[in-house]
Amino acid sequence: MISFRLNGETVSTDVPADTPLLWVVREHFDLKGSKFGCGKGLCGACTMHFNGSAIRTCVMPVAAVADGEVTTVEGIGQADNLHIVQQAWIKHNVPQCGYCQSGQIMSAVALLEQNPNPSDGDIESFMSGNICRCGTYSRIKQAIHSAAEAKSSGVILFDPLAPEEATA
Amino acid sequence: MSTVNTKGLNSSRRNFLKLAGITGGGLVLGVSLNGCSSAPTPLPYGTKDAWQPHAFLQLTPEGEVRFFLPQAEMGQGVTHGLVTLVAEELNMPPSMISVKVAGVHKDYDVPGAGMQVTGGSASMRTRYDGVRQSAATARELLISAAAQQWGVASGELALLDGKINHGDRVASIGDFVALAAGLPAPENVSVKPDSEFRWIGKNTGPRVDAIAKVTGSAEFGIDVEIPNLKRAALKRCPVIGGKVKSFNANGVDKVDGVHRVVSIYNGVAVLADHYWQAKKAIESIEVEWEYPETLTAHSTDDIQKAMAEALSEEGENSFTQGDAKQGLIESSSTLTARYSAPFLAHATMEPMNCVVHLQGERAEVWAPTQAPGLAQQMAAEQSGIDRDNIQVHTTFLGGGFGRRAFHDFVAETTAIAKVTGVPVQLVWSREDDIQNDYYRPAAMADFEAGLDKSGQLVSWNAKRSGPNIMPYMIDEALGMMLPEAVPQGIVEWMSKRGYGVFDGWQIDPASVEGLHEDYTVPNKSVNHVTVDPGLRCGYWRSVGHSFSGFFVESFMDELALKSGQDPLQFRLKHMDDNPRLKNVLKLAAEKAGWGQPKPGRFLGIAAVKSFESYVAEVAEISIENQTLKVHKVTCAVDCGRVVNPDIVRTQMESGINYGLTAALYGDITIKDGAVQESNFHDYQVLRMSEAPDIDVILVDSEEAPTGVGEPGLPPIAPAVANAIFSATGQRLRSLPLKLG
Repeated sequence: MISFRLNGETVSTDVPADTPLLWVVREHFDLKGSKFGCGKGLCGACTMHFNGSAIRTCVMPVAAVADGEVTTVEGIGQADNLHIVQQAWIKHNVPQCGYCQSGQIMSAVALLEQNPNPSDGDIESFMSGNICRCGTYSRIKQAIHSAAEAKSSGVILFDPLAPEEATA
Repeated sequence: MSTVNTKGLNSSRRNFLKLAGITGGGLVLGVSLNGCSSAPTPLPYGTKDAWQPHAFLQLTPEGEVRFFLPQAEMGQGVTHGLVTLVAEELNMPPSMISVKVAGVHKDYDVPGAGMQVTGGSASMRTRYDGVRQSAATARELLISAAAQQWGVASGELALLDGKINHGDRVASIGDFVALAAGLPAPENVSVKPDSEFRWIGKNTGPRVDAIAKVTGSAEFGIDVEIPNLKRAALKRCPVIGGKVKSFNANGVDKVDGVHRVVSIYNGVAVLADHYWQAKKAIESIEVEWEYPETLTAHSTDDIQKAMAEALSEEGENSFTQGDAKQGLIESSSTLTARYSAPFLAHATMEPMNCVVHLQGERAEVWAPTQAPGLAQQMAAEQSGIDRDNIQVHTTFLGGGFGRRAFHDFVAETTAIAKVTGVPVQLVWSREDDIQNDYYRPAAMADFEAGLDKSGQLVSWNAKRSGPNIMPYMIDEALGMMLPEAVPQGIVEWMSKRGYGVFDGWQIDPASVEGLHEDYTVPNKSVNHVTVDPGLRCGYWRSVGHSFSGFFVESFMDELALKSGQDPLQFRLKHMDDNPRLKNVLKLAAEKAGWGQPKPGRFLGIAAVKSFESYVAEVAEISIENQTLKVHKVTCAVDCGRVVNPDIVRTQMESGINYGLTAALYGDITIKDGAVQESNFHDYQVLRMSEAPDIDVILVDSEEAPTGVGEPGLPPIAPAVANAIFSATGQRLRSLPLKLG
């Protein structure tokens, strides 16, 4: 039996120790936000946090996170309580198909935890493990800068309850 | 090694395919052979609790407006775009409208296409009028009902944000739903005049799918859960089309969690409680394969050689204007060049997957699909269940790019469900995905052009060789073209002969599109020679333009050089018949500072009309230590009326980055029929550090809206190649671009 904390709650599972964390979280704990993209740690769609660091969970055996703290996209913010990075993603109209974006957001959140004011180069180097086939990269970069600024100034970037605006 | 057999594949019988015209972006079933049905088929998500004035719309007594999205959302923003049209006519914010993807029904067929399909950048172009008209009709009925109920004139009522107002009196539109449902639909309802647009043409945000996509709650195919669902993985032949001769399960059927090991038409499947169990189990299974003869006989080198040899044949003529041969004779100078482009995989971020639940005479299918009717057809062929008894639920698509217009993954899942008798989810690995695609066809082309003394083109000759998409699409779609009464077994038998039966009846437009259209030249000739090694091909973002744009726009640069003219001015001189393309070319050149590159930077330009939209791009590059960097792309687009400016920008950015991946890296190679690339380490895609800044200029237009999902792609490869020439003097005529 392997136990760990998942988005703040203690969970345990009796799957074989080499089962990748991604599949345990998706199929045993029914959190589907983290995606399968490559199975080789090459694309970042499966990114979660393990003790605060971004990890590729399609190649991370569940045994490796025993007794640790795992956070998924569901754990960082919800529709009525969006994380500043999620708000920045909406403000900059980042998601297209959206499939890679949970992983992108988890990487971005981890980056800002480590480096609250990253340069373009910092962002490019940290985010280069996350592939997006829709090509949303330049918007991701802008959104990370916005989130960094908003985090330090306390500004809200997107309020779902605010009235809709149409701008030219 | 045998050579590619092209005999008999380029004959000129042209009659049969009149019933199935295929345009560049997708399939058009021009004639429906389905028998007349006596009663209308009920709508897939009909309900007694709501009024459905049109297949697109349901309105509830609580005032909820539900829009049934007839197109697939694969990132291109069609959900927000079409909801904006509904919002405009019902005069309410897009965020107030709930959206459900429509099921399969003829009322959702794309006008003129005879089926439900998302492709060819056609959604906004084909839906703009119909969606607005249906919402406007609902609006008029609601107002008539309110006028009747309140005993006032319709003209005194105002509909705003889900409420109907008369002076101080206000009521929810839901209050009038019951009455409206009984009123006859008015004819010739007017849509809102452009001058009164509240949402169309503006950035309305956020996209209606945005919150779900940043919180991980958007449901993609891979996320579908139903009770008692088992997970499957499938071991396929290394060469597509191979069959199982025999297999040894090596005891994996005894492993904890594994339920069954079964053989289906193209491989051995393991059914387990969980995906990882199935995935691990298939690795231990040994299979003896029966390899497909044609494809197994080919490798990239001999395919390239056969395509090159084929260009010495006359080929089939697909377009003639004036006398191109005589034009060459009369030219004061001529230029020839040969270009080529490889096979490409789509590599959608979400690997192929599907859930199938067979329930006796009925079935349900959950699939990320660009054509739910084809998914239904595939499930019918494999299960033997009537199409009309199969309900298809379309999820969000984690990327489409044309891959999900083909439904082998639905057929496989259904075959596994049929033999195991339980609800099944099949998930492909990335290796499965890269090695079992419907590939962008490889292409090779010879160009020869003649110039007069003033440097004006007088003759344009193009000849393309390579495989066609059409036979593979017909394999897939034939069942939908035949009457329902034809038994599925016969449909399958016929469709598997699609290649021999259908290819060669006419030139596949997708094989030659874009080879001559954009420029004014008095004498033109375009020919085609089919060379098909048997690797299945499909629609890949921008289809034929994905290679022809590179060929033509590179050759135009070579011709400019040959005649001593600036590449921009040379193009402009040949665009008198193409004013909208001319306009975007000027706009992009001006904004990018054409002719005045920054120190150490080099510019390349290209413009392509595709899918009725006009796009020009200028690439700004540098080359240091033999390393190419694309710094910036300036893009100008004319797609007619812009429904949502920022979504148009995102699609230009997307097409450019997708096209840049192909320009810099994309190359699917074959060895003895097997695709060699397997995952993102050897089928590289663009990453953030390589992505350019992109500046998009939108043309303000009142022309009818056209699509934006694909047209941003074709100009990028030639713009970069032309910039490389400017920087190095090297003319790169093959994709991907490799510095010498």
